[in-house]
Amino acid sequence: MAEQVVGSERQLVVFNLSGGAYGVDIGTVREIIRMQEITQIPRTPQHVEGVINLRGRVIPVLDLRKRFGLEVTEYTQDTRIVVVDIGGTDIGAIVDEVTEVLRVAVDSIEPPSDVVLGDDSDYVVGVVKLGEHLVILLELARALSEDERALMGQLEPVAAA
Amino acid sequence: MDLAPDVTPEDLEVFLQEADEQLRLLDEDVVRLEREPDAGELLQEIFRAAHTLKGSSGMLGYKEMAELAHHMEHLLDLFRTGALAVTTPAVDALLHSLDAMRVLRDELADPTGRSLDVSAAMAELAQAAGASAEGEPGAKDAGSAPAGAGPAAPIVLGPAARERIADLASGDAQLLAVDVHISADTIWSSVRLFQALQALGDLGEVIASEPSQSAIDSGAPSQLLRAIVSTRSSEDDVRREVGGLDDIAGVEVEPYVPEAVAKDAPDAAGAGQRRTGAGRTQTVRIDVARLDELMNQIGELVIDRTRIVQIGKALEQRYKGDDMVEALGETSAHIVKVVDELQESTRQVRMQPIGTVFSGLPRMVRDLSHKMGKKLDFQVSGSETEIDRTVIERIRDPLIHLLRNAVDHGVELPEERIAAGKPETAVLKLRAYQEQGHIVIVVEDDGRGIDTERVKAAAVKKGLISAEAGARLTEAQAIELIFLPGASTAEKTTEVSGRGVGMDIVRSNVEAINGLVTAETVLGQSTRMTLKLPLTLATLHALLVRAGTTHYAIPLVYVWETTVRNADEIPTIAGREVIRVRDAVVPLTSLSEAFGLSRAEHAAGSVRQVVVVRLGERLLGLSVDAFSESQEIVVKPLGGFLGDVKGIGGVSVLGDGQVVLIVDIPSLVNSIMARGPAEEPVAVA
Repeated sequence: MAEQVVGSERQLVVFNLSGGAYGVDIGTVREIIRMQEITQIPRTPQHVEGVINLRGRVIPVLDLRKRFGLEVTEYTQDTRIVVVDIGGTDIGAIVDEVTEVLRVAVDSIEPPSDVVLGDDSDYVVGVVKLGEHLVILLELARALSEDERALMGQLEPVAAA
Repeated sequence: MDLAPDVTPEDLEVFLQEADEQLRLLDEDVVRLEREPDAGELLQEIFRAAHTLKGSSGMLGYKEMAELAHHMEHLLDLFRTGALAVTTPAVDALLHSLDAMRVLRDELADPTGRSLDVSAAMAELAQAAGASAEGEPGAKDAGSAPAGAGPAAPIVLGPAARERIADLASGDAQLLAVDVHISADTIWSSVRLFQALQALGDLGEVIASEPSQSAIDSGAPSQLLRAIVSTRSSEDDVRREVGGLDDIAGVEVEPYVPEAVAKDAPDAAGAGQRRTGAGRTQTVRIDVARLDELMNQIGELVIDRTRIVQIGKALEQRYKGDDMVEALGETSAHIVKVVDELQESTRQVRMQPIGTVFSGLPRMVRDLSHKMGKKLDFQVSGSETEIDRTVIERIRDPLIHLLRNAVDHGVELPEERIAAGKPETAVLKLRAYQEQGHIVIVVEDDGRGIDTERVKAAAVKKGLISAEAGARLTEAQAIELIFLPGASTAEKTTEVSGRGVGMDIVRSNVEAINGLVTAETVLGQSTRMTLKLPLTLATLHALLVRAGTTHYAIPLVYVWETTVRNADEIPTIAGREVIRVRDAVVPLTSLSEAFGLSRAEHAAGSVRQVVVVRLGERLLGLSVDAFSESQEIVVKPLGGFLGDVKGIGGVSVLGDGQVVLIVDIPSLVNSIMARGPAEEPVAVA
């Protein structure tokens, strides 16, 4: 995974999801776009919203709230699709809001072990303390690709007419 | 094997590719020769190819191959002079030698240390050459080469070369006369000549040379290469490129001034030279993956093109009469034109004559029919029909299956045919033609046909269908049974079904590329298998429909009928909605439901729009909320992330940016009608 390291700094794209702040390395983010029409794909997991047309390229889009089991709400003016590069494939992740691009010193990133997390949380790779706030550093490639593939294999067969 | 000391990997690569082509050509031509023993031109072509192989393998120092080619050449020469008639054993001997050569070629490509013993093949050739061979076929050499290698004197121009020069001279192409002097102390002057000629070929088109390409190929040494080259490179560039090669003593370059071109008819004499020499330098081999990439990028360009036009129109509305907006309109119109041309050209580049798949098939059919003691006239037509190379790759196996089945099961033994009052020699036809945006390939034999009653009985016995269902089947539906997976295990020995070996594989291969395969038969008379294939896999003719909020594209090849029905006029049979279309009763399901999406509410009195799709003899009605026009769409894969989604074959983006899902009809129909065609209440007529 490409990481943008500037001296001993890292740049994070920080987004908001159900009140929590999460960050991903800017090197993995291709672009951030507004919500747009999504074409639903049948027979895919619930959190796969469908595909969008990104200037002629068709890329899948996932709802991160659904993926992380958070409460599902309506999309707003602030809702964004963060397009990330996962192993050469672009994938869109729907987040509540993109708040900032943050420069943090590498040594201010703490390992995630201090934080209480669910059992499938190996995609949380670190935590940054910013005053009273916590930014949870995610590695979306892990969150989206591996278990995604596992899910694909378990899809139900076609519903009989 | 020991090769010449200074053969470079590049030389080897060139040789391997050429050998591959020559061997394929020879295979085809030798099979043809058996049927047309008197075709002098054909014999000449075979001779020439064998001679080229001898020359190029000799140049590499590949003794085994050169010797074998030499023996072949000897036998061919006997045919040519009329000393020996073309017989089946002689053709067998040639074909076996070609097989041996292919092994030799592969050994060169992938040296395993083990070397094929070619003595058996050579002995067979010698035996075929028989007594008429005066002793060892040794002494005669390249002197018989049709290209005629003379002393390195002035360049002898054939009619084809003269015509080409006249062509080029009237244009603005630059013609150069190049003399390359090979240093006297080189061991391998023939290799240097070859390299020099290659280098010139890389710079432009070599119109003629002395020694000629074939003389160089056969390894004739010379210290001087004279060539006429048409090139865009400057004289200095030519000097530098060729002079940079090893063992070159000097290069002289000057503009070539054509002499008054003699007007003696440049007729058929030159036509045979198509496959040799200069023409090759103008082609480029390219990785298919790169073409795919290019096609994909152009697909995106096409979408952007549409977008630009739309934006331009919006701007025109907003800023009427603005100079820049008008200029934008002109520019975008030009972009549209160029992009369309680009798309068409790229499509053309990917097209290949279907003959590239057909080559090799005559040989296979011949060998198989000989082995089985059947007399067969194999007729191939439409080889020039063009088809996308990605499709070509996918139809070879199905075709081989179909032809094998025809020879194996369709065509009777000569005795049987005579007893049945048919001509002793059966006719097996392979035809290809283009029809309404599709390629149709037909494999047809005049053999015993398929006994549908026995196919039914076998299917019932194997438990593929119930006896009642079997009794209900029409002829056309019964033939469909041979495509069922279970039917393919039909024991060949009992020949219950007559056919059916791997027919399910044929069908799944063909359907995988959005094609159709159908069977027709007349018992005792004929069997015809028809493949209907898309011209290309990159684009697709599809009917666009909407179901719920999702837009789908249904490949047109599967659309049988579109119809509109009143919702309250749709009867139910066994809890299942059906409609009657053209005398058939067709089960109906909504497309959204078929994909497990929300169940649509159908208010009384509302209308249902139905697309009836047909897969073989199976019909299925898919109700949708709207259908629009059919159009050609660019197929994009769904992408590795989403993987294979059952029933979705890919996606496409329309000109207005709308994403559509391409319905994989075979997979959808198979999953819905999993029980097979016989159990469906189809066609009650």
